[in-house]
Amino acid sequence: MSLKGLPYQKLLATAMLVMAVTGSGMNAARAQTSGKLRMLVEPGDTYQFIVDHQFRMQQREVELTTGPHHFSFWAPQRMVVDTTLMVEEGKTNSVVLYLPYSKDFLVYQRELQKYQRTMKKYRVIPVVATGGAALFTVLSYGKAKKAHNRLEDDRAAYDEAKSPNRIDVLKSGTIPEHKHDFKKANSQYLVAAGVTALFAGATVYLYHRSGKIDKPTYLDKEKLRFDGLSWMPGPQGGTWMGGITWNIAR
Amino acid sequence: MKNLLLLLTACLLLSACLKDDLDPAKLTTNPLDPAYDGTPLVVLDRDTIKLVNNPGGGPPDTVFQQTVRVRTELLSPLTDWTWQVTNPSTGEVVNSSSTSSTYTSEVSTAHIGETYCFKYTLIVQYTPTKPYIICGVANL
Repeated sequence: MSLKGLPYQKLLATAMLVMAVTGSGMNAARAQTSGKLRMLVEPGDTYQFIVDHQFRMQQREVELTTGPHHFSFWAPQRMVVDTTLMVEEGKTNSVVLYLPYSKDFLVYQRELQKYQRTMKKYRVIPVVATGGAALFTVLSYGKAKKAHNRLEDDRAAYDEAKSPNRIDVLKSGTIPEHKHDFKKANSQYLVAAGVTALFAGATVYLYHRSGKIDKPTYLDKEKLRFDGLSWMPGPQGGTWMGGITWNIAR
Repeated sequence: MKNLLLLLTACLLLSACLKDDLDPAKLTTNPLDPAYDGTPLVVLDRDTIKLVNNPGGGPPDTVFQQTVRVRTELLSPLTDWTWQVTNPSTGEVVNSSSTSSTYTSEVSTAHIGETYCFKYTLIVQYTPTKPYIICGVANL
């Protein structure tokens, strides 16, 4: 590896730790006996693991040389779990593991729930209230219209009345009663329409206001950590690489 | 905001459609209504004077006859009525079972040049309609 041509600042800023992985360990494994491990990991469909800090895998069963092996398990939204498992000769052992949710994900979930509650407060509840008020307004209008139609019927009944008695009943009883009903129904309708308009205005305002609230996002830091654990094969074998970056311009 | 304005406009338009302009006091177009103020239902047909011989031998009696009629074209075809006629000067009330469209009132000892009035009321299904006072002058 040559450092020529790299800027001086970068040379100072970046320290590279390079460790060569020799193939001797793998050659030795071939001579050894092996056993199997069957993974029963929750969540069952998305987990991955790294064996002995080198091999990244995603399978249900793995055959390894006998003896202890280091495992790092991970799944999206879950914590990386490091453990050492013993492989026994000629045996298939089951590994039962529940990967706990990462702290970041739990925080994200809490924030998301809070965001959803806020959105519910700002959007769903006003919309439902406006919808309810609008429905009530429509029903009130129907009632008022019905009462109005009754008055129209009364007018027609007056025109067609064939006796003074019938006219007297209409003018002194039926029509005033229906007028009272109409007044009541119309007042209810106007109030309902006013409330609906008010709710609609509030809904528009809250909708507009809630648009300024940022939705929380989730960055799976455990994934970044897990990805950093993976083995990067090179042309002559594998290398472990780690890097530290320091911004000296600050 | 546009939607809100549309909603408010729609509400106003809808509420404008539902006006209560039915006032019982202003309902006066049915001829059978006691408060009717249209074309008179009962009108004068003719006033006549008859001289009737006095059986006692004196001068003949002067009889004033006033014939009125119902303007049936203002009523529904199957409307039935009877007559109630009042003489305002004597207070005498005549309830006639006549269902005819005309009615004749009489003053048996009329004085020439005097005015005689009668109040005519149609009774429809046992209830009175608007009364009409019709006057006539006894002229030969």
